[in-house]
Amino acid sequence: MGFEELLPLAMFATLAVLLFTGFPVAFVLGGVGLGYALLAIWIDPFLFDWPQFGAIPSRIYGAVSENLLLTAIPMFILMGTMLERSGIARDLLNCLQVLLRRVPGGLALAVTLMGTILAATTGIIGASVVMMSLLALPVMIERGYDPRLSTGTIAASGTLGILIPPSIMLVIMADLLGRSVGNLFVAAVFPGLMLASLYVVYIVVRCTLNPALAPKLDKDIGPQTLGPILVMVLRSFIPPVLLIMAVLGSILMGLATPTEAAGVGALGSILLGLFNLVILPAIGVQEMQMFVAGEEGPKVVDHIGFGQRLKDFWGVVGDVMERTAMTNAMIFGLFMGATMFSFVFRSLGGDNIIVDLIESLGLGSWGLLFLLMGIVFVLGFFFDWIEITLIVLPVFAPIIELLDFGDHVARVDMVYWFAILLAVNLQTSFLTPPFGFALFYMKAVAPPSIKIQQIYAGIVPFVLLQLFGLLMIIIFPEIALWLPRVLLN
Amino acid sequence: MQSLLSLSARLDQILAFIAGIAKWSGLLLVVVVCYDVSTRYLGVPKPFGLNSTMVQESEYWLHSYFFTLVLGYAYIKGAHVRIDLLRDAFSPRGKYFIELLGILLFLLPYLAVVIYYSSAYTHVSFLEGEVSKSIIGLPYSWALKITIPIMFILMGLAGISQLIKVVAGLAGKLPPAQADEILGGEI
Repeated sequence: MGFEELLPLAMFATLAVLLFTGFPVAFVLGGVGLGYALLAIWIDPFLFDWPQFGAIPSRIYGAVSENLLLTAIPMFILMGTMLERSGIARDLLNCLQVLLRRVPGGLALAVTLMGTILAATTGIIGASVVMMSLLALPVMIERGYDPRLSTGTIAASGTLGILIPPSIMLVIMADLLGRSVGNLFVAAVFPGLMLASLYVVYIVVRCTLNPALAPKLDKDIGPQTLGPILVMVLRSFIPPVLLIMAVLGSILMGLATPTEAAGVGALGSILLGLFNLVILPAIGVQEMQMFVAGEEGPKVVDHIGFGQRLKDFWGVVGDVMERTAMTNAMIFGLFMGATMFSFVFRSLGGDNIIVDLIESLGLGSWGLLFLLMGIVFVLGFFFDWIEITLIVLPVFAPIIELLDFGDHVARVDMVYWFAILLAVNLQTSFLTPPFGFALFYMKAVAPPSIKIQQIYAGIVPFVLLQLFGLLMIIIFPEIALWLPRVLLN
Repeated sequence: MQSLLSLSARLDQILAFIAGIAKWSGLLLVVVVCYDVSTRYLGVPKPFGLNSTMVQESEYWLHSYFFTLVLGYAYIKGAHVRIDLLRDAFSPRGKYFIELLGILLFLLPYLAVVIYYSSAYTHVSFLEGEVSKSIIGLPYSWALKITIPIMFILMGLAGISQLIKVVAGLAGKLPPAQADEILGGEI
């Protein structure tokens, strides 16, 4: 192997090492890209030369500035942030708890259902696991739930969001692979629901066999009679579920593009927030409380006027916009760094070298599939999906196109199937001890009584469920491919 | 050192001010997309010779302003993702030192190159009076292209501000609140 061929490989190795310095990933990508470009210029201007940098702005312009699809990303983030900050997510969880109070493991099931419903609106693994841990973990521990079951359920349900559409990760994957986002969303529906169902079955079976793991809630928690329960469902369950179904449904039925659905969904979440924080209090509907009957504390009578509430709400909107802007800037900062890195990598012939290298291993399509999955699984120990999809997917894309599974998966569908496998694989990786970093985020916000060993022990059954799910999708590609064929032809 | 720190505070103010305005373009984006949807599905009219190509192009224009004007502010607020696995174990001095080297060796050279080339790119567009690829799209493409150099320039200002704080931190002259912000990593 000649020296020039080593250059792109060294580039990857340098990147891997320098990322662990903890300097922002976006800037390390840009810096390493530039560094190797300068090195190549110094070695031999035929490898790379200054004028080539001129292509970078036009790449950014074409791939990001002029990209209508990517505008869906901030709007999905806005929707999720709004649902969280306006208390709608918390109310939904409380409501599910009350509805499931007679079912074994009801609290754990409530968390799984909430993860499935709000999956739509979460995207960044760290943020969603933190939100779920803060909302649900203290309640579960207080009610005497087994810490291992509690933490496992929360980590697994909190990471479902990257798989269940409309997921930001799927938007970016589809963009990078040059495929339809709508198709990919549809393909992800059943795999996501399958995993959620596996969790549900596991929780119910475990808690039925061993009720000590999940003490039933006192019967008298929350509203008792049909009337108040209906009010609770109407106010806390129906609106967010309708919103998510409308967003998802319009994409799945092919009625709206992801961008349109995201825009309408974001507006819907703002209106829901307005409803929850301003209109309901103004017409005298009490905030939902998790009281034990008979102990209902003094009725909270506040004298906040309508105008003041409106002003407070506007403050919440401003705060949501700021958080959205930050998360979005973080994602697009990575886009910028990855553009520099990938451009130099490709200019130095990195793509061909990787393809040659992998072909020289003489693996068949199945061997390649497991190799790529293995690489991504290991990367998932250290990096969030954004870095992995932005850096690795473009390099793998040409190899993915070459895969051929004969009758097992039709060629036209193969890339979608592959993307779904990748998504499930990544989610599993985030959960796998000792590195899975969903677990670290959880430890950071968990009550001090929770030990990391308990989190590790609690997640193992869920990782096994994930691997089982992954295997099922590999063996039966129809799990992912049936719905798109039926819905979208 | 004190005057440098006040320069850094000034830069932070500027970045916060710009980001504070730009964050609303995200809300405007939602409004425009919903308007676009309402014209398409509810038959709401498009006045002043607007056409849907223009509306859709304005969506990615708004998104471009939304992220390009915020990226720099996101750096001083520690919102850019870092791999914290080893970093958590480093001493404060170690963290400052890495940040210093990172800014000097990675961030600023990278920005210098992309600022130079993207400014030239925008300038050409301006001189040629470039318009949208689509005949009925928006004119003045330079006003979109210019977001690219502006984004990198704002990141550069953020980099300089962070550089000052890091040097002050190494000299033990950084106020504790700011030190926490730099050493704390991600939000």
